[in-house]
Amino acid sequence: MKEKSLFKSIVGFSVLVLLIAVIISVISSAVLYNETVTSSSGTAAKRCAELVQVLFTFENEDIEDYNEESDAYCDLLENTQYICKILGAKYIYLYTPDVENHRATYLFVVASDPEDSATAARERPFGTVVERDIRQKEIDVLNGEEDTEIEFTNNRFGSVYSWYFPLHDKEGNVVALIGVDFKAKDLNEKIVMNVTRATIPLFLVLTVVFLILFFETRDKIFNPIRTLSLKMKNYDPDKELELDSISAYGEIKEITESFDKMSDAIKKYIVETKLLAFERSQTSAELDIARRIQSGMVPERLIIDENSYRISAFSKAAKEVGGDFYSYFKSDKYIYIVLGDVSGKGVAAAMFMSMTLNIIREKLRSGARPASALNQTNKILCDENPEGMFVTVFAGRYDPATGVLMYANAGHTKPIMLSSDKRYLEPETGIALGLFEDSDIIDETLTLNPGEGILIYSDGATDAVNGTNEFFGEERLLESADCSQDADAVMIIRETISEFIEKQEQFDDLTLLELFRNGERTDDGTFYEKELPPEEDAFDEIKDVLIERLGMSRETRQIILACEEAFVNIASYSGTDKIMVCCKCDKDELIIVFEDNGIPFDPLKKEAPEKDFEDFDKGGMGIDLIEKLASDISYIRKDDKNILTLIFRDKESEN
Amino acid sequence: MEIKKEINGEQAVISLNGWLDTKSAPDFEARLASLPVDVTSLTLDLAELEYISSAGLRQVVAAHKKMNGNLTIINVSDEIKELFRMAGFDKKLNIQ
Repeated sequence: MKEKSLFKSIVGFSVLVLLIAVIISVISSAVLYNETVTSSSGTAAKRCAELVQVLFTFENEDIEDYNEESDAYCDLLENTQYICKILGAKYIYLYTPDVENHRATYLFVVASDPEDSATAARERPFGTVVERDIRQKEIDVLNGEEDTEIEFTNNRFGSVYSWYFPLHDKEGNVVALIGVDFKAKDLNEKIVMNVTRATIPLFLVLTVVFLILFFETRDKIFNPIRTLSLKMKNYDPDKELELDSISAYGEIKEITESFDKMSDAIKKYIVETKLLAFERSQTSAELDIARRIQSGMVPERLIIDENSYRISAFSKAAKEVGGDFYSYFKSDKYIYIVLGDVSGKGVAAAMFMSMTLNIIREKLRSGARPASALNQTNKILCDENPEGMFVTVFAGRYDPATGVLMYANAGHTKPIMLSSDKRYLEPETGIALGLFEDSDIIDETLTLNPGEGILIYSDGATDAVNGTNEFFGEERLLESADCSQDADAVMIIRETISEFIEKQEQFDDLTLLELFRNGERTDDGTFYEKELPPEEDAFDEIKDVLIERLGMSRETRQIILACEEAFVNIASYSGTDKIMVCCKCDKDELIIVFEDNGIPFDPLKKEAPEKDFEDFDKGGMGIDLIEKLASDISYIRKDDKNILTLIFRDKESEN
Repeated sequence: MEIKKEINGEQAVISLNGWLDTKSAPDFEARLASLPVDVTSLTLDLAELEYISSAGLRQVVAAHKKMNGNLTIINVSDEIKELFRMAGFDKKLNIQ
């Protein structure tokens, strides 16, 4: 909807005010002049009456003695006519009212106009009796009261205002009434003329004032505002406005100046914003490169699966680049793992992280032990750390041959021992690098048994926050850290955390690294390793495995036979509750190891003399057969276990 | 393990097919025990026998004893024959 123009409504209002003022002025002046004219006509009428009285008195003749022919009458008539003319009355007439008989007897009627006078002389000659009621006003005048109110009458002589006065004789008795008529038209014209005279200047003054206001407000207020509004409407910071400059004064000038100032500010701001956006896009591109460089150094995902160990790592920065890092590398016979967390986030943290990681790696590669590497790194960081940043690090050197992990902790989070008894390790807390020159970090060691591992992580794991501001915490972390050989603890934890935080944005950098020592596996030639119950049926599994591995042949059946004899022997006589069977191929040999925790029994020790054939139905052939079928057979008792090893070699290669 | 038994008066023939091992030996033992008492001579046909373990060998010895030596073993493969030799059966049994 279009707004009604303020200018138009103000103009309309002003015109209305002007009209009302003129109307009020007309009315008031009309009332005023009406009274003035009325009273002035009253005065004139009175003057007429006085003059007639004077003339009448001067003639000094009784009214009864008057007749058409008498000199006194003629003089009075003539002089009255003259008075009428001089004082502007329309008619002056003399008559004697008879109240009781309801009639008026006219002596004469004169008019200022000669024609009217003639008509009056004809119509109302001396002694004309007009039958009519004598009005109260006339009676009042007869009784000596003064006529104060003008009376309007409209008769065949025209519209007139009439005044009545008494005519006194010498004794002062009222002998007749003098009527003085003024032409209503004359009086009204007089009033209108006076009103007009009084109103026109007012109207003119008001109109002039109004016009001045109109042009002034139009030129100095409304037009500048309209131009300004047009300027605002078509405002385009890229284009110079080609509107006429606004000539304005006072407050409007202030507004236009403010607008110009504002539009200048906007232009400047836009230029700055564009510049900023450009810079930001450049920064974002640079950050992207930085992120790629960092992910080259610290990949988001790393899986190393060797025979004897497994390393799995995950790292994700909260921003493009982060302060978390991890590293894995081999040097000589050792495997090195490093995981750290730089104070802060973003580019600064990433740069500090890059420097720290490189120093630590270099120190470790040159053969330093973890603690020594961290202490040396600390010294360098302390010297070259104007921003006072610091970094917590866990560094470890793992010997895959022995499972020994030597590690050092520089104020980092407690690692989790992944074993059947998973728990937080309590290493020496150490102190974050970059803070104090004498860090005194020390080495500690632990041994990972097959099937055990260690998990190191940044505090982004424990400090992950969900929608209800709850921390993921150490308890949940330990709970979700799965330690089996087939499970990747890092991925499980990562998924658990993302389920936990749901749709929340990752607040802190998150890094996880798991080092897991694999159990003895097929790659050392082992193709079967299992604990079996000491039951006949259980051997079927070994039989199937051997057939599958070796193919069905005479040799295979002989190997199966030897194994069956050994298995059945242990199952029947050792009293063990389980038999550990391990089959492996090593070069040309097939090695099958039976372990049991039964009573010590060396099958190779011949206690009894050779049995008779007839007694073979009681058994006793088994060991014999094994000895004959196997290329080598050995027995040791170790850790309360019977360990029987059968070795089969290819018959041909044996020779 | 498949065991076939043919009884002809005092003569009985048992054919063994498959693997005679610890698991199947009791089955063979039961067949031997179920031979009528008037059977005095037993022939073991090992043509289809693929494998024999000591548990099976023991039953062979038991059969030998039950028949008072009247046990004849026929159609023995070289493989099984070698096993018999390893166990020292070749000298005591009538292997044809």
